[in-house]
Amino acid sequence: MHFLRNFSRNPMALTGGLLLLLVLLAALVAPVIFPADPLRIVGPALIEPFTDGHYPLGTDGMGRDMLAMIIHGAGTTLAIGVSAALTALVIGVTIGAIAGYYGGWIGNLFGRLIELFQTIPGIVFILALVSLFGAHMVLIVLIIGLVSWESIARLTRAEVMAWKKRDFILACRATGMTDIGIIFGEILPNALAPVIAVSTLSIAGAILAESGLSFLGLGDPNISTWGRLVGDGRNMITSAWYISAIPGVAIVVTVFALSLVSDGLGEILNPRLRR
Amino acid sequence: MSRPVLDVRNLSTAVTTRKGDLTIVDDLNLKVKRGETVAIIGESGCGKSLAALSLMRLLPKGRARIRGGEIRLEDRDLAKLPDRDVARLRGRDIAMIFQDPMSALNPVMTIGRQIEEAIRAHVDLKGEALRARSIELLKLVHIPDPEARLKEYPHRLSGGMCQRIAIAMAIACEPRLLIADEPTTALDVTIQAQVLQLLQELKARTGMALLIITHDFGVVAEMADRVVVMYAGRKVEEGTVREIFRDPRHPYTQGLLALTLHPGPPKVDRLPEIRGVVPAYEARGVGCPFADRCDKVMEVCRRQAPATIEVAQNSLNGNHEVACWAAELESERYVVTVDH
Repeated sequence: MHFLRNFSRNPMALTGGLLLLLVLLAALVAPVIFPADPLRIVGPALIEPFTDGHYPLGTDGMGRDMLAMIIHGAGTTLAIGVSAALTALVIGVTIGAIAGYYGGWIGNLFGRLIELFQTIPGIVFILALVSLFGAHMVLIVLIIGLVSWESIARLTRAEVMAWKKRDFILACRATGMTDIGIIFGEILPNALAPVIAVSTLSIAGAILAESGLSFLGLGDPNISTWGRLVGDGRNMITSAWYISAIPGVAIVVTVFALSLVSDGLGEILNPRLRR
Repeated sequence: MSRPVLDVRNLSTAVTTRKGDLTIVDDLNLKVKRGETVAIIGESGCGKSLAALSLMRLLPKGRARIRGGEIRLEDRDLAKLPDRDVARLRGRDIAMIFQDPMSALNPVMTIGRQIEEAIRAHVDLKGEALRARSIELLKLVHIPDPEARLKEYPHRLSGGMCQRIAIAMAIACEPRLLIADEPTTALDVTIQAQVLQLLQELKARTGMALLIITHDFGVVAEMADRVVVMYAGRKVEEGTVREIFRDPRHPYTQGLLALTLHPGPPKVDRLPEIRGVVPAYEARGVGCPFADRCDKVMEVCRRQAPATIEVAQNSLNGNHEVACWAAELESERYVVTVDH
């Protein structure tokens, strides 16, 4: 309750949250208002948006309903973003916590591992892995997660390093608690706030990564995400710009909303900024 | 004489610096018997806390380490046990409370959860039994309304309450030895007395031994059976509280006792002091580390560190020992060199 009140008082978090809610709502109502396959051809091709009441956002080059595709795309796009971010969160927090908690060679090894991943250009790595393992949706989620855990790990590492020096950690060790118990039971609950804020942002990053992949035609061909819609419109960008632009706007709005929420969460969850 | 719970022999602890290892705790010998309270006293920076952390094997990894000696806890040598085995002993056989109670509790977890974690580190309790044990522990440390407190977060409690809770966590598994590192330094005077009283009471109840680290002779007088005076990482004098207060032999102990303030109008304009400061560890020579601050300094003091000698034998409570050339000279006739 406390959290919700703070959330609603933070203008950034509130704006972002409402926009996200809109996207989520679209994803939820998609099967109700457009029960049929959104990729099926429904009418004449290339109806401009806002000219035909039946197709408010027009149709694409093959006569498919833009609105139906956008609304159906919301769910898949969000799902991919969230699952990829969760994958990154699990990998990042685990590696970051180990790197931060243990000194000596273990800490060093994991610290270097983080730095190694920091130097690899994400999108190139994703392209390499996708062309290697194929473009199944689950694989794409895992690959995006595998490439984007590094920022979460770096943050977790820094937080854990700061918290492990606190007296209560010494007190916990003095009562005989195990390292694992201390890391997950005592340190991470303290360190999680900024990590959550950054993870929200990594949902946005994952959506962008998937969009880029689909735009290049390397996404899962069986599902329709916003990135794929942008890619589909690529050939006609000079004659029918809106085919790419409409899903593009959807991506921009969602990513923007996510970064607002992330910034807002950073402020709300930071005890030093809390009133 | 019964076998001691804790028997520390020739313990040396060094911190790692860029210029190499620096010995901070130097050849410390210490015994704590069953049910006994021993106080380690000395001013800041004389190695008391580092000694305590060494005993718990809680030294910061890579920055300090035990260089030599034995830490016998009953029949095991903590100085040589692997980390995993030491972790199993911590909390169960040997526990510790710290100076600042406010920071000794996890700010994002309820009191109840923290106490439960401390219990479950060694005892496999669940559900209602675990809760009952937590409440019992809180009652033991006189927390009013324990059921309600279990749901509170540390920031809602006072320093004294937090220290009580830290004590409850430390004694959760009934350790045989409790190390209290300046347990009352961060507390108000009135609360200090309560916490000391609580420690006495728990000691009487459980029969655990207590090792108190302090810089306050008031705490020593109140609590301890025996006193170990530390200076610059070395034990300079040890004896029963009575002996130390009545007949301190080391000039440092004498100085510390002279500093203890007495009620009433001051007899002098200026408060007494021991001139100078504890020498930096890097700047330590071969002689007695107290030489530069000592009124009785002799030529030999700067040349050679004094050995620990017995000045009085007292079969009941251990001996009165001192490491000082001047004291040795003064009590020449009784000298028996202690060989550990």
